[in-house]
Amino acid sequence: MPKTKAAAASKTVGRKKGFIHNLKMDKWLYILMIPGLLHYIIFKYAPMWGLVIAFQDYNPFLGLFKSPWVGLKHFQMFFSNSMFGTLFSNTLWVSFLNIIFSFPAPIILALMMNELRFQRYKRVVQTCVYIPHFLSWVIVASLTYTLFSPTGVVNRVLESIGIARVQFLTSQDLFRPMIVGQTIWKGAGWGTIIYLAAIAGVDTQLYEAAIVDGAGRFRQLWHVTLPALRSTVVLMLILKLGDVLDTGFEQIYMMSNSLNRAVSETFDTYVYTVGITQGSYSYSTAVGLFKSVIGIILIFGSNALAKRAGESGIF
Amino acid sequence: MKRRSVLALIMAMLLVFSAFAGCQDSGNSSQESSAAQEQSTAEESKAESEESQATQDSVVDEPRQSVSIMSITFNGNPVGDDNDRVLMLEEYTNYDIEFTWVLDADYNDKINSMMAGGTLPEITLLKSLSSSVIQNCRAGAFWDLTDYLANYNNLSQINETVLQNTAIDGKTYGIPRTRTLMRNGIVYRQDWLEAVGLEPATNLDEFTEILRAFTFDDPDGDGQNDTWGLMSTKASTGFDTICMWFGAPNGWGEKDGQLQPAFLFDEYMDGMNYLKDLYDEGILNEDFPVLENSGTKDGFKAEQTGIYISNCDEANSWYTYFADQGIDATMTVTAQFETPAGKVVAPTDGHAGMLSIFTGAVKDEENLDRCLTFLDRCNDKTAEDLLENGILDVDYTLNADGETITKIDGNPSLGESDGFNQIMMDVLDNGYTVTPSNAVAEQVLAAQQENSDYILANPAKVLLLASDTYNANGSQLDQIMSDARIQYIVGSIDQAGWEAAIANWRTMGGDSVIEEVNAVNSAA
Repeated sequence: MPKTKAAAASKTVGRKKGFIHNLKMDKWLYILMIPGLLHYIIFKYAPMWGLVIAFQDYNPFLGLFKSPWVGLKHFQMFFSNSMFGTLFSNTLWVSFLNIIFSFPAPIILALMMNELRFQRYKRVVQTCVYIPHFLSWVIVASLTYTLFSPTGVVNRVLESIGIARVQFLTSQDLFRPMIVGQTIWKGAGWGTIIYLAAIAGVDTQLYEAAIVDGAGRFRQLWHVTLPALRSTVVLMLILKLGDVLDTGFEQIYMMSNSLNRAVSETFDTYVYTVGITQGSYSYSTAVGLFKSVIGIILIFGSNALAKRAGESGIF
Repeated sequence: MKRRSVLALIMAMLLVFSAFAGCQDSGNSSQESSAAQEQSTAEESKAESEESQATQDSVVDEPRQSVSIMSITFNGNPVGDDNDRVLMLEEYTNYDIEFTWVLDADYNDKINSMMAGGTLPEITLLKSLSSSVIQNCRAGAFWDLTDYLANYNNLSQINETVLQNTAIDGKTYGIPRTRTLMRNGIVYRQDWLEAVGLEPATNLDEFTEILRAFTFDDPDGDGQNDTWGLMSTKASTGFDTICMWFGAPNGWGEKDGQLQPAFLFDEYMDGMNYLKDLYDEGILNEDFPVLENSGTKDGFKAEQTGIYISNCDEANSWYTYFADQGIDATMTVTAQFETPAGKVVAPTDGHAGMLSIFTGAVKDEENLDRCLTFLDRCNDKTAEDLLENGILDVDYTLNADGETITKIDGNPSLGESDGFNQIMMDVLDNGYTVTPSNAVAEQVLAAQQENSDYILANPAKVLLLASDTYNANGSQLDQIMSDARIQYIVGSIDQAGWEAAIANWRTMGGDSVIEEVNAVNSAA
């Protein structure tokens, strides 16, 4: 027994020595790391203490230290709220549809662009599909309103070919398709960057070997490109699952109105209504905290699943 | 290996991008604060250089004092500290004014963050009595001015109704930016009326007749069906007014011995059915549930609609607009017509927020007196003329009658900058010199004057501020009912759906609001 203890002790000492040794050896690298670390500590970790207001009745004048503590009151209020079910399902619906439809969109687009032979044309296409990413949601929403309003271009076209007008903006059934459509339009092009990079990294010898084996374009895609993309796709999917409850406040808020509220009220818009317009900072912080906790659970969960399936995961 | 490094590079770039995006906000605020610093240093140097001529025009002969004040800028280009108007106001009041300007869109958030940081200036403009303002006042963030106002010449003369409307738990926490209590009237496009051969309405049937004619009889004579009889927006402006015509109370009313919100009254349903008929007939604009709040005004300017039932002061600005644009349009403004409920008009709150004094920056009564004296002086006629009209012979000239003025185009001394008139309280109501009225302006005043006799006030306006449930859940509760109202009018829910919405409103806290409002009412 004492022997093993001593061995363990010497082992930790050895490790410690190693750490200090490493520190000395790579000191310049560690010094280079300091600004980054500071950024994360000051701007990402320190503000997290603000989360304590979820357990207080926060008043800006009384501040963090004088506001009364109320324990889990806000969480109880939230979970017992009759809105909770609606919010939860609305949020999940939007996220679910986004994962089914918006997530694969950049992959498909990247594969299509990869097949373009003429380099200059490819570059023009790439630039064009990146542009929507740089437009803010306000602009995307106003474009949507202009195009899809009852007297907008789309309805004019429908009318001219003899189809009845469609209430794109106020219909409850069309709200989710519109949201997913906007997300794809805005984000698909930008999303291709990572996939195109991964595709560019595929060893060309693999393609040559496949051609020798008699594979056509589609077979090459299926047996070479897609397997090469797999780990990137899994990685992106894990990251995506992490913010499954983040539906993007601006987009939803601007597309919601009195007639589609039953499907358009999500956690994000709810936090805005309650937190900002009513000034219930503590309550909305509690809602936000709940969202983040779910996000973390999903990230860990999907990461573990990915590892079990033989992928490398994100950590 | 190669694949990995390319990927890593891309990921790193994305990270850097997101870091930049993250920095944007903090970048802005540091810019702002450095601008604020510049402002205050400019302030000091100017104060020194002007010491000699400082007391020339001031109300009293005493050493110059200073005061800090936070107010709104709408276009992000607030008036500078070296602007002649500011200098003249400083001379007149004998105060150095240290302004902090905040963009309108960020204003309420900024107040709370500055309050938490203790950096709020002495005097702060509170735009409205939102629930966060009420919470802050109750927590003691602003001075209770109830017992102090009597000591000041102008501040002691604030309109009682306005004071009541801004009171929180019966106490005055700020100097209201007083506004006329009656602003409503009905604006018609006179040339459209003539085109369809009708007169301004004297009762509801005639009014409906006009709405129909303005929709279907091509009042603008361009041969196209491109006008709406009645235009509303997603804020459903004016719907409450129309329900009042059918006998619903303004906001709240007494029913079964207690105060209840208007939508629980049967008469409210009549109003909604009237609107529903208008919508079904195509008279009420189809896209109102998604139209932005300025939609009705924009529609009037764009000649899409010819009737406006709300703040008829708008007619004055449209008059100028039509003249500037060379649009051949004439307008008539009238008071309320006869309705099933008689002649009823809702008054305004009579204020546009208030100027309050932050207890964190003003610690004792002596300093409170300094701030209140400044605010009192800002209500003098000379100061108000500076705030509203500008500088004599630069921004306006005095007319021959000696009582009215003519403004010079473009406010020369202000240029493009704005915000200066936002600190005007005007507690004496039109304490400044006015421009002579044109034909429309006279009608506007006459209509408002007549409508003042038809005021139907909201008995729960002030009581609601005392309801804890309403403060905590008010905007959600209001949204439930305004959503349901729009859904009923466009026909996506029926009577049963409307009643379900009311039931939902009750369980979400509506019943507690009714209870709390009535508790305060019976206690008073």
